[in-house]
Amino acid sequence: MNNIILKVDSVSKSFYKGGTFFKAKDSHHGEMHSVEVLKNINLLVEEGEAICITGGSGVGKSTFLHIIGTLDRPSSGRVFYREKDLNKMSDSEHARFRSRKLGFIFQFHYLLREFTALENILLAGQVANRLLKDVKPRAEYLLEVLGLQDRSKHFPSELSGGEQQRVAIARALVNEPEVLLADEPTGNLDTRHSVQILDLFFELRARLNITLISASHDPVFAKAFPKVLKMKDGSFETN
Amino acid sequence: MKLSPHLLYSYFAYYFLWLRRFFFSRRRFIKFTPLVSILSLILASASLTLALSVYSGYEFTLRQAIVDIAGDVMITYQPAVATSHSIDESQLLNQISSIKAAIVSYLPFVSMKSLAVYEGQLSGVLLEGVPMGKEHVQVSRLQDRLIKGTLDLSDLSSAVVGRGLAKKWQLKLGDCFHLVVPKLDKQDRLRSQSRNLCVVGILDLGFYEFNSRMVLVNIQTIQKLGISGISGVRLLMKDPQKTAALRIDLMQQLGTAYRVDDWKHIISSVHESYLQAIRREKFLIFFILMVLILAGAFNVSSHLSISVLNQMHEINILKVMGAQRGLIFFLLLLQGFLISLVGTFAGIGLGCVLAKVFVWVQSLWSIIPSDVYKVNKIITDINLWDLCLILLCSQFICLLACVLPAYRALKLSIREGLMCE
Repeated sequence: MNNIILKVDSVSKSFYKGGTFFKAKDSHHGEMHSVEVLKNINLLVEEGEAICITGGSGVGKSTFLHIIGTLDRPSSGRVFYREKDLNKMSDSEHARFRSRKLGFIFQFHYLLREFTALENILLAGQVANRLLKDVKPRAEYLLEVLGLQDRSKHFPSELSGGEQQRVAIARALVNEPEVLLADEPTGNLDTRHSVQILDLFFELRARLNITLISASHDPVFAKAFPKVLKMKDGSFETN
Repeated sequence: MKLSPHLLYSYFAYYFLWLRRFFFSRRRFIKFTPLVSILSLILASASLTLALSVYSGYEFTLRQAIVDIAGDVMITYQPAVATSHSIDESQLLNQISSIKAAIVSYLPFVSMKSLAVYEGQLSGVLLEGVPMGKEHVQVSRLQDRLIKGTLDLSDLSSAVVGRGLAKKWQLKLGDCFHLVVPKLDKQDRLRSQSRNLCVVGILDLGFYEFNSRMVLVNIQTIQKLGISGISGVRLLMKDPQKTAALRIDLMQQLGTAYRVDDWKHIISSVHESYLQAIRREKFLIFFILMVLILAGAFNVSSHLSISVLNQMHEINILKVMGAQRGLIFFLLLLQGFLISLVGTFAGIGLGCVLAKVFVWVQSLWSIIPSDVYKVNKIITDINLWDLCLILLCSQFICLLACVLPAYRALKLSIREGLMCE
């Protein structure tokens, strides 16, 4: 068996009506009114693996990615990254962990409007506290790999949807993450651009040896992955 | 991480990117909301700079007027205490020969109260007799204060009068008035000597009391009226800041027959309470005008709050990428700090320009009532310490105002931010 990079152990996540801090009571029954989004999820992810989580809208795919990406904490259960319990880490340690080990891609590119493509990528380097002299060649290399070398000085509004998403991918990869988390990366793109992005994912995964965990409700996108986990009502069907 | 040129360069380059983002938009040269905050701070610090420079200038003007007339050190003969009624100029100069090295030049003078009569009007005047020559001008620095005519008093019937007196009597160059000098004879009976004097020059002595009473004549004119000897000497020193110690030395050397005043002592003994009031007023004005800075700081704070809302997705994506809370907090504080720095610096610059304009306006119109403020014109004095104080207070207030919006930005939940997007 390859190295286990990520271990999800009985993770559940509930959201409470009216916010998570003050737990609202149902006025008629006097009970907590909560929605359990993730139910007792277990998962082992091997290093270099490519997994796609599929399922309908609102089944908990994004919440699951948020939890393994340390953007949110589980209500119960634990997540281990190379045997390190992520739940025991502080918010600041989570931030450091995200900047160095994880890369995120979302349905929307979330590029900073006032910065060029290259600058958007460089700022990810600043966040990870890396020197500009190390980050810049890597950013230029990624732009070249992603076919954007001529677009590096363009602002996001001057790029097409596919190009914007490719810049977001370059930004996610600039700090050489071990795990790339993609939440509906092609959700906002047409079929031609979706295929381009998909091809890119697998090319980069092979070239950079990164672990890829993606969430998508698109069956065509999911088919390309060697491992597909279907999520339904907050748990994996294959569990 | 070790501090290295690469690290410094990285920080500089990264923060340069952020600065560009804060202030400049691709569509406009400078963004509107920081511009409004900057403008409010410019106005606040400009008015503060102008007000403080006028107050500092007031003290400076008053001091300058006194120094220009009295010299750096003034030695006056005091006949009430002395055994002899006459003062020997050469003997006095011998007595102060020990400080000769510290003296640039000296001016013997006669000063006395007398009466002037012009077209049936009477006025008590301060008659001042000085010898003619270069030293006269040098010691009392009167050349710069001459607004009309000449300082040449070689004609013994000529006189130079203060601006206030000329205005009061509507004296023009060439107009003549009558001077009556009281004198006691050997039997202590009051006698008077009089002489007709013609105006050859008008002085702006900068100080109400001098302007309204001063009549400057050649020392020989007074001697012709039967007054012998001199009242004292005025000294121009190499270092005017060291006059206090010299004054004490001279007092010990000359004894009680002479009164020794340096310019600092004249100011502190005669005008101290007035200057204290001015200083207190300056202090109060500083705090009152600080309210404007406070209003400017509220502007910066509200700009930053709007900025946090506008940049929510940027802040959120930074958090997703793993930005530490400190970095986000610092970037927002930096934004506020730079707005206040630019605003305050520009405001101080504008205030300095306005201070010069204020002096220029005074040369065109008389806006300072000299009977109220003792001076008829205020030379604004831009004090470096005042400017530093404005800068420090403004930065401190603005930084405080930025803390809350920056803190609110930290409190934004990443997950909620992503869901909202």
